[in-house]
Amino acid sequence: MNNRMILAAVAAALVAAAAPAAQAKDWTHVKVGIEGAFPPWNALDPQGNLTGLDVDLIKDLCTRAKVECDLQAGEWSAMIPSLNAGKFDLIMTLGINEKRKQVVDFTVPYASGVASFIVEKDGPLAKMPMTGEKLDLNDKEKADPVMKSIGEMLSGKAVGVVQSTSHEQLITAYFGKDVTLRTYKNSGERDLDLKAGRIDAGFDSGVYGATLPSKPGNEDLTIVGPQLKGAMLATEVAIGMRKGETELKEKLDAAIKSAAADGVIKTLSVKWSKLDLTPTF
Amino acid sequence: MTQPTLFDLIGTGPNGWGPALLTGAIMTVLIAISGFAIGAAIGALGAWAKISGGPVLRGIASTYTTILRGIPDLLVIYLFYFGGSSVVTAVGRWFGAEGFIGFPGFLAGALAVGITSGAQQTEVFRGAFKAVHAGEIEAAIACGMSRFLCFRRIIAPLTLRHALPGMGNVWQVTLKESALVSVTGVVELLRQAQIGAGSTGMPFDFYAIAAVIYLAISTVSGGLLQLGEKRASRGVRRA
Amino acid sequence: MDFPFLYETFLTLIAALPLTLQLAATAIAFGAILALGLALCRISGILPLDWFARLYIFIFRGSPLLVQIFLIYYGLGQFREVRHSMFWFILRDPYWCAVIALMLNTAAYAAEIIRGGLLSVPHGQVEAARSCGMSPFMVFRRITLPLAVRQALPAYSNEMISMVKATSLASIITIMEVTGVAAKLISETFRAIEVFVVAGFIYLAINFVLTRLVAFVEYRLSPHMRQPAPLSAATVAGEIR
Repeated sequence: MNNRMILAAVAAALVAAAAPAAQAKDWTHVKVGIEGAFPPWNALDPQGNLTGLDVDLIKDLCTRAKVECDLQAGEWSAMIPSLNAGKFDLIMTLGINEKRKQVVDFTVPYASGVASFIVEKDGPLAKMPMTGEKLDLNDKEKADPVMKSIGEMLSGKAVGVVQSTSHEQLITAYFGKDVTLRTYKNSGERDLDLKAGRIDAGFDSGVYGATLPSKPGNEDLTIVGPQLKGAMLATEVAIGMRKGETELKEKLDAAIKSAAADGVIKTLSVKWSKLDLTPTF
Repeated sequence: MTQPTLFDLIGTGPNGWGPALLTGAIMTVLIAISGFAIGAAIGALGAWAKISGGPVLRGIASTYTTILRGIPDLLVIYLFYFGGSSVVTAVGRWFGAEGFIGFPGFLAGALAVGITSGAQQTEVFRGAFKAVHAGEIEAAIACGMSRFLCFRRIIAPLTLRHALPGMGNVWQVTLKESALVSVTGVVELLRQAQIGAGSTGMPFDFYAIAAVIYLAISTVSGGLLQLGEKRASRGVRRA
Repeated sequence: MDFPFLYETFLTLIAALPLTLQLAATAIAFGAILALGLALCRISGILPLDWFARLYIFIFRGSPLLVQIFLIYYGLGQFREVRHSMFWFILRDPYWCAVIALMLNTAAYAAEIIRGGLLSVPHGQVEAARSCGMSPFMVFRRITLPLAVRQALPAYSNEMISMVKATSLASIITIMEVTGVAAKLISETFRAIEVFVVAGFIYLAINFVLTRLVAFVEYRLSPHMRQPAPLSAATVAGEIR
């Protein structure tokens, strides 16, 4: 064993000692972290209560999984650190992608969404190609030329995304230095800047975008361009949990599958977003 | 849809944010008071360490004040928020606690505010102690008071009298700093205003209301502190 | 400790240092000018000016800087009139919004510091200057201001440190200065404590250098407070010859 290996071993031991080890736990009480600023998925009403699709669904899932759930609002960019620190046991609206898989475990998806651009109705970007059509980024032959032409339209413009989202990752990966990326703490603040004209486009969940124009003050905003999925986009929305919590994962996976089979996910998603977001397993 | 008026916003109607903002304001005051109290305790300890501690204690106290005065409070709050739970959990495991120990946002916020406030109060208390006339302490010792009695009857009240104006300033700073806790999702006044701004699209109105409430809290508490100052320095001859 | 990670974090964060310094320097410089104006209003003896300055100082010292930043950045953008005004090209830019908010805020604190400095100038000095036939402006420029600056410097250095710390709030309105980059790094690596330790170290270093600089300026500004430098043999010899 040479010096470097010893160092590595010591470092690994330190990390192992510092990191909360997963322990077998009898799950009766579960703390669920929900952002509360991402309608229609989740929001806070004037009384400070969490509402939205996530909230209705998690209540149903908890009943199915026979656990007591305690819902707490939190800052989006702090969700994964809070989960791993033990503040939450589950976090919602967490789209599945490879980067996140390295740090958390996922349930099976509870909703299947898309991502799209949000722009001002009469701006130059309103003419983006393929508006309303679905586009799978993994189908490179079809998707790459479209993304190239979108990239040309966006060149030199500012695009706003929420920090720590897969939307942020996509804009960086596809458009990189050609666009100015501005990151916000939540979707609402980004929309304020979009309406104020400080940024030219937003990139967000298609479900969020679809319900956006119906809200007061957002009449000038519209979703444009293809409804994207695939690549690093985390459009398959699941519940995140700490690594190694297999028992909790089994309970919730079963709950989600039975909720999907009973049509509960369909009813709730139509209620909140006018779209059927039922995932396929 | 028509834009609600300012009166609708702060009213108690179905679209009114009045009760929510009020709850937020109460939360702000609670965080500020807890933070200030934690800070006062730390400040007293820190001042004691700096005045009569050995070289090690003095070193710890001055490292603490130097660091806390040199780094942004926002960083301290982030550090507590993101890092707090893992530290608490690790410490808990040492003592044999099972699993994860939660670290609620309120506590993280109050502690973070308290630790920054403590650095300021350390200096305030130290300065105030220095302002206590050495003759008073000598007189107390000459009267045969024990160290503790001397501290309780002479040093503590006199230090407090000199410290009050400084503590008043620190209180105002602490109150304003509590707004930073909003970034961790604790629903205090500023966070509530942010939520309102986001869901109505009227940021100016909400932030302006928040600013007015902060001004009101700081004015009222400032007035109370002045009363306290007057009371503590009754018996001081004014020029 | 994962030293390679700390080192990499340090390199990423240090790249954002110029922006932090630029924000702080611009805000402090503009803020000082505004503060001098406010301090002069306060001691002018003209009631409306005095009241205006008092109200300004009350508002900006009594509410949190973060609220002021939000009010200027998101709040002003709410109004179509503002968005179509000539000021929009400045207010559109988060950098300038942050500078404006920091500048307005620091001016309120610095005004009181400068006022204290101005009031501390001994009457005798001003009277002596007047009796030498200096005009009021010249008295201010040559006597009052330099003496006030020297007096106010220690308190003012604290305010400058506060401003360096306050630039971290700019990260909340999407500016990628040191704290903004730190927050982004955390969202990518999920290693909060290490990243913030490195960021904290950078701020400490800035403030350490700043404190030393102010101490140096203070030293240069107060030669009369020092022991006269011992005469070196060479100069003594020169004097004699």
